[in-house]
Amino acid sequence: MRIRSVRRHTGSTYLEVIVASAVCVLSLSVMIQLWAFSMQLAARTTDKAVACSLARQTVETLKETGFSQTPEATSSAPLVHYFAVDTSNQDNAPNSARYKVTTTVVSDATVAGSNPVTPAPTALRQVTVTVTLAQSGTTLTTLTTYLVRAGI
Amino acid sequence: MKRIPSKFRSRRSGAILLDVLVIVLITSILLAGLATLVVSDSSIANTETNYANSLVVAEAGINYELRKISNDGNSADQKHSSGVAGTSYTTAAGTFQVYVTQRNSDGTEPTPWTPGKNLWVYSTGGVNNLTRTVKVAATAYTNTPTLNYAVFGVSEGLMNGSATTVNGDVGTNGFFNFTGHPTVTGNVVFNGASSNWQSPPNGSYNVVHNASAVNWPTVETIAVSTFGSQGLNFVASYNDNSLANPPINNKTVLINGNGNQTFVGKAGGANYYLTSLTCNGNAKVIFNNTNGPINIWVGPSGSSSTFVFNGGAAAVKSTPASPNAVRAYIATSNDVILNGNSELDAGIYNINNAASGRVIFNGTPNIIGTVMANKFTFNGNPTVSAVQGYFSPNGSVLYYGFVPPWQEVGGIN
Repeated sequence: MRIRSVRRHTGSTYLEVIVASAVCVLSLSVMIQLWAFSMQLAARTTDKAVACSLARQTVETLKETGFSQTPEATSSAPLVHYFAVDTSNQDNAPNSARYKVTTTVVSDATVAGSNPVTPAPTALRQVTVTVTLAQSGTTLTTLTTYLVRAGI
Repeated sequence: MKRIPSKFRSRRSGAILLDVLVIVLITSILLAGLATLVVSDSSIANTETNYANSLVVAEAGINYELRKISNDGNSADQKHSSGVAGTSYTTAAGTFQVYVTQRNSDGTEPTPWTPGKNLWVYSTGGVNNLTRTVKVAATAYTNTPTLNYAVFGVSEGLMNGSATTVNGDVGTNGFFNFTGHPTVTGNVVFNGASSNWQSPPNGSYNVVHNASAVNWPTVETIAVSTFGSQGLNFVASYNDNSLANPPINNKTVLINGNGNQTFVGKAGGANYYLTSLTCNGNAKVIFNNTNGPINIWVGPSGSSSTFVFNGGAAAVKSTPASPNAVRAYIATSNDVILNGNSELDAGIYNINNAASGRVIFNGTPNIIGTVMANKFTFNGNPTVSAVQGYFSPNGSVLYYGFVPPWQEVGGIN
């Protein structure tokens, strides 16, 4: 009876180790996934925040440039700039840039025959700023606004 | 085989599993906290992004409306009296509600807004159920023509003397009838399609025909832009009549014989308000504008009262560079009569639409200034020498644009 008792306890220990190992593996797997998700979300949040900041910065720069001084930039020939994570300009090294800012400025009326294209005084100029990850091309944010003569 | 004491066996049973579970639990709690923190941070970042982008959308709405009313002032999105105040637009820039109200100098915002007036533009922009509203001031940008009129008669002008001399342009939106043979060194200008001679003149003049009539504001309109919405009523209550020599009581001036009435200027402009002015005999008015400009307002608008005067020599002569000009704005309906042969250094403005009287010059005064009237008649042989800068017509609205201030209203909704 005593020997049986010892054997039962010994078996429990092995089983216990196996169950504990399984719990460990399962838990670690879940935890690693959770950790990875958290890191990805944090990185995505940072990218979105920087992208929105770059988009607003671009819009404000265009507003400061003004209705008549901002050059026309169609989707076939947009204004493109590159930026690092710290939002410093990387136009000289686009391959190492984190963000690509693409801006189009399209007027619904232009001065006939003007070269470069000049907006008509009555034009509504649609400004679209798109920020993407420079390497993957993933779109982070798009911001659209209007420029008009004597507007804000 | 040596027996394992039962007390040891029972104590160690399940210890590894228990330890593992405890460690897993603690690690899970820590990771769950980290995940919650990251998700919360992401949510806050999204909210802040929406908050900032809502402002961009709202400002896009402002520009959208400015362009709309610049193309056609009558197409403005007026404030709705009930329900949602603005008109909703869904555009490439997002969805915004926009409306306009009038922007009066006294701070009131009546609706509907009248094209040509100053205005507020309200715009509410929204992104993902988060909205922000901005309110910006806007004004009409106009083209004011450069004019060199010595005399302008909105509906008509009659010159009966042959020795009358006008140094400058003579203009009308109606007709001219020169029964005499006055000398006009500038142009005779007809404004508007139906503007022309009533009968052919006796002399030859350099005649100009403009397609559009010149749009002059009324005296009351000028008073409103100068004093606010109360216009002439304001200056009737708050004026500089006590500065005159002798001080003017009861808003009337009546001088007889050889008496004088001196209007005294002050820095920033002295504003006098009269309901009548009568000079009998050799009595005359004098302008002491050494210390500043003089404005004489005569009202109430459309009332019948007497405005008969002589003289009007100023201490500081009227030149384009002189900041101390003398101006008389007459809003009453009776004729304005200048008698005598004295010098008048002033601008006379008597345009009140249909309620206007007639500006009549008798004698041979020498007028250095500008005369703007609904109708004028030169019976004598005055000499009128144009001085620019006295009065400006309404310009035609070219477009509407932003002027400070810019305000956010209502916070985040």
